[in-house]
Amino acid sequence: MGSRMRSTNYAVGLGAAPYMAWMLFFLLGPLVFVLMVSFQQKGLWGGFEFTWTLDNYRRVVDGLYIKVLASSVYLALMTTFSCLMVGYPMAWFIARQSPSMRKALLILVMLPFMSNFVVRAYAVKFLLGVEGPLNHFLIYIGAIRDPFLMADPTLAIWFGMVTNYLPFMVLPLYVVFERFDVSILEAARDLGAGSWRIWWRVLLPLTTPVILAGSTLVFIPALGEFVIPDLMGGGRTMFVGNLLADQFLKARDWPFGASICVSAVSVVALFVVMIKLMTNHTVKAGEDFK
Amino acid sequence: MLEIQSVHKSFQDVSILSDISLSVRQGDFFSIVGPSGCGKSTLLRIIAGLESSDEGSLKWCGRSMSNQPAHRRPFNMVFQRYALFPHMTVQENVGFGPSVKGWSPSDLKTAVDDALHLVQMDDYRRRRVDTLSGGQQQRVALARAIANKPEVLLLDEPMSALDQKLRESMRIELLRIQRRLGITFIMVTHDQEEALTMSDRIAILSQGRIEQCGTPEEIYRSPKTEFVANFVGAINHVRVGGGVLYLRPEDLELSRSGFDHDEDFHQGLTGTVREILFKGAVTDFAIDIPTQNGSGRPLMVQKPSSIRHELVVGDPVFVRWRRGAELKLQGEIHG
Repeated sequence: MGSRMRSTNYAVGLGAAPYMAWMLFFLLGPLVFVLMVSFQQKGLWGGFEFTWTLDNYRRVVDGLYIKVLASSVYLALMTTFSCLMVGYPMAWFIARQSPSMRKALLILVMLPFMSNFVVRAYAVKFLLGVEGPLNHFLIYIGAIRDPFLMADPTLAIWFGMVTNYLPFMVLPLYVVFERFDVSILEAARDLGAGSWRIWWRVLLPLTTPVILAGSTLVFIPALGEFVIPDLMGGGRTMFVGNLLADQFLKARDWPFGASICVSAVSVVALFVVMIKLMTNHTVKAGEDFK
Repeated sequence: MLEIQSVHKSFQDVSILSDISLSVRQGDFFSIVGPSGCGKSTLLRIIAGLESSDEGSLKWCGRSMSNQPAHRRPFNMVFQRYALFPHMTVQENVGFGPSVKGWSPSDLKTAVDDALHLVQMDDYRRRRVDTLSGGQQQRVALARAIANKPEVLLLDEPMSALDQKLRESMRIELLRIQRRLGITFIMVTHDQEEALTMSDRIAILSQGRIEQCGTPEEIYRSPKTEFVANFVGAINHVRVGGGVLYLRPEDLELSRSGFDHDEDFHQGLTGTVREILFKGAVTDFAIDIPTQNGSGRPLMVQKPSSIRHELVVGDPVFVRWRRGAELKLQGEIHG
């Protein structure tokens, strides 16, 4: 029995080999390389010189750059939160429609994936711009006076981010909502709970794992995003993504870029660990044997 | 008394319930029975307040319930697939109702303790519900409803997910609980045997209409329509003279040698044994009767297996039945 078990394990291991090789070559390898580079000195013509130093990290924690990192985390968190606020009721609404209606609405959700990002970004930029129709409309109805209010780059960036990342939140939520046993909610109502209590005590706890999963899917790419801030914000605002891209592509300071990269990855890792702990906690909450 | 007055319900122009009127006495075990798709679950959901009726009224002890939302009715429901809260323990499930209603901690504890004790699940209070077996989940679902001290307990196919043996013991269990609590139970089921054994009164539903309402004996012995007669048991169509008689298989008697003349019995059918089906406690005999102008359907006769017989397939037999055993159907009769 024992030897048979072991041989099956070997077979499973063998099946995972291509994946392992891929990850080793294209993920772990570069990551270790970047980590190594982040501790070296800048080369005269780009690249790096092999001299161990902590200078790059001293620059990262220096006031300006830590601010950039902080504002990136803030933007990513805001994006995640907004996607959740918009996506949760949206996914619920879609899941409660007739099958054909559901299909149509899902295609609408996926629509951002089907058009070129740059075209979309410029369309949104035009819509929100100083001379854009939204501004004209808001001024016309008297909602705003200052034409630059809606053209605020942060607002445009935020809008672009939410538009772009919403599907990552909506799709996993939709899958869970579609299969959700509605009779559980009916039971809660029958037992005397009003809508708010049903949501707070039944629906929310049961959907917490997928909320966390969707948030991870949005937060991680949102933190490294540099195209949207560039296009929507007109390059006037600096985020970790732009900073990083600039260091490699413009300043040619590989070691400093690498140290920023390591810092950003650490933030993401921290976030993932936190989510993991929260998920375990919600699962354990009911697991109160004895 | 629960009074339902001319309730109508349709979904997207398809009529689900039409003109349902019935009354359920306080403390009764009342069953709503019918084949799947007859609207019985919808009727139960209308009583619970989970569905609204298009027309008609619902009164409980003289108070109108039609405009009360589900959570304000003194009714609680046991759902078909239990619908327990998977993220809560057994006691959290059972205490959910009392807790959202804001009962004091001591009242809540007593309610949970009593309910769990009644369904004999005291030892499982801290278990997660998904670690329980189907039968145990069923008990928790029952306790969760009972803990709210409802005046009416609604049960939607409560035993459909249990296996045969468990179902039979659960019937006795449910009756015990109903007697203990002394409250009204309204159960929906498609199982006529379940309804006959458990209920004080039964309503038979077919295609959104009530075919008959009465005690199990009334329903079985004096069905009003052929549908009811067929639904709660088997019937034979016997052509005598110009008319058709409806006879239950167990009311027919068989003899190989023939019967002595007896004024109390109607006799005169002869046939041959086509099939003998031994079913354990009872044995079914399928008898070909040539005079039944070749309908093809044999006459079914059922006898307790404890009555010895020496019949074999192919034997000629005489059939008779006690006068008055014929079912008197009303309404339309389709031969």
